[in-house]
Amino acid sequence: MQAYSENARNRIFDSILTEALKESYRREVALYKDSDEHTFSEEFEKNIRSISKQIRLKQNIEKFKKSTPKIATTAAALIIIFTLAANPVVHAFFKNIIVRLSDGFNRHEFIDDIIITIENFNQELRPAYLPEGYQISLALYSPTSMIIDYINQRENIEDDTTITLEYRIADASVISTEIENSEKYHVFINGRDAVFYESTTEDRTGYLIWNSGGYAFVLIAQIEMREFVKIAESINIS
Amino acid sequence: MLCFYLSMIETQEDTDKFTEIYNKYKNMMHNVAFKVLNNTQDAEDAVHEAFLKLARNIPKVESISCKKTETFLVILCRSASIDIYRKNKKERNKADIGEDNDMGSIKAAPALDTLGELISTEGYNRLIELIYELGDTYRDTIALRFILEWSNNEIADFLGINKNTVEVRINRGRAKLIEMLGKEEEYASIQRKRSK
Repeated sequence: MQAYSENARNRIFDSILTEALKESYRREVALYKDSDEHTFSEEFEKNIRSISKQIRLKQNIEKFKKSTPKIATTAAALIIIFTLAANPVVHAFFKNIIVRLSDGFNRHEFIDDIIITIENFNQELRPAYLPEGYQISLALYSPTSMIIDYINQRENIEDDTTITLEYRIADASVISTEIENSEKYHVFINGRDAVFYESTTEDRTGYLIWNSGGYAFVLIAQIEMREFVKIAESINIS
Repeated sequence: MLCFYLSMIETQEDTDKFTEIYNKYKNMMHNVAFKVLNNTQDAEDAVHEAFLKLARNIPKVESISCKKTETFLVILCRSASIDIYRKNKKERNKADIGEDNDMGSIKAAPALDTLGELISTEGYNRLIELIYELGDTYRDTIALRFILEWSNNEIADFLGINKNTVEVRINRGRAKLIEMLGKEEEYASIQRKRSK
């Protein structure tokens, strides 16, 4: 073989290595595919359905973000709906529908003196406090809502959980929580009422739901309740 | 388990992709997890974690039935399984020890004789065997770069590790392979001389 430069030798090696890697995974996949079939537990199947719902949510937000030209039409429709809903009879009618639809769920509707619109929706709201090691890993936004994920970057794997903060315009929001094996607590966030749900299953996932400054907030994590409150109270809305 | 969702317009595109992957590969993924954890319950937990991670990375999956996707799913599931293994053992995997030293910053170049050997069928097959010997931590990181062509940032984000650790794993993994191949070539060369 003639004398190749170091760069050339590296390129040739990487090219052969890539093909060899592909072959190694092809063999490995074949091995796993040929193994015995496993019957998954009901709990597992249920959890997967729950993930599907969450993908749908995030996908919808992304699509909504891309459909900016439709926002004006949507906003106009919302104005008409809320104008109609201001009429007590129409409001009662809508409320009745919501209650009927809400069997099996806890639904949270938000009433706030401060009105946030698409024009003045603040996408920059962030907690000033987070437990040690958490850093932002994902942010999804639409004109009316934000979802932010914080992941624990510390070496200690035991603390490797995600904190998800979601907030949206309170006036147009109904947040549904499907509660199963959970306990409900009433807490205060900067003097305002809030609801905290904590799963009684092993994962101990908690949900804190509250509204403030015209926004409805949901905080999801596997941390202590007092940490939820600390994070929530550190969000400066003014 | 407690779950929540908001009432919004429903679309099917990514849900369908997710469901199809789930139906087609859940068994394969369980086998990947079981090999690491050797326990059915833990393996199911790992597959569940893997699907949660898949949900975040679903736009990266272009085609459901291709080698790249299968490789990605194996790495995804193995990564989730190793996390659970570490949680259970409450200690770091030995493969990660010492990743912060300087060795990984050097990109090793193979000798000409080593390259010549790799061109042969025997040498190529030996390289595949050595890739397995390298260990999953290095192999998966290198595969994410070389097969899936992800950037260091993407790999770091996906594996939940530092960007520098990605570079270290790739360079060190490559260097180890070159070293192993070099030693074998040296040994073979001595044997050839002796037989003359």
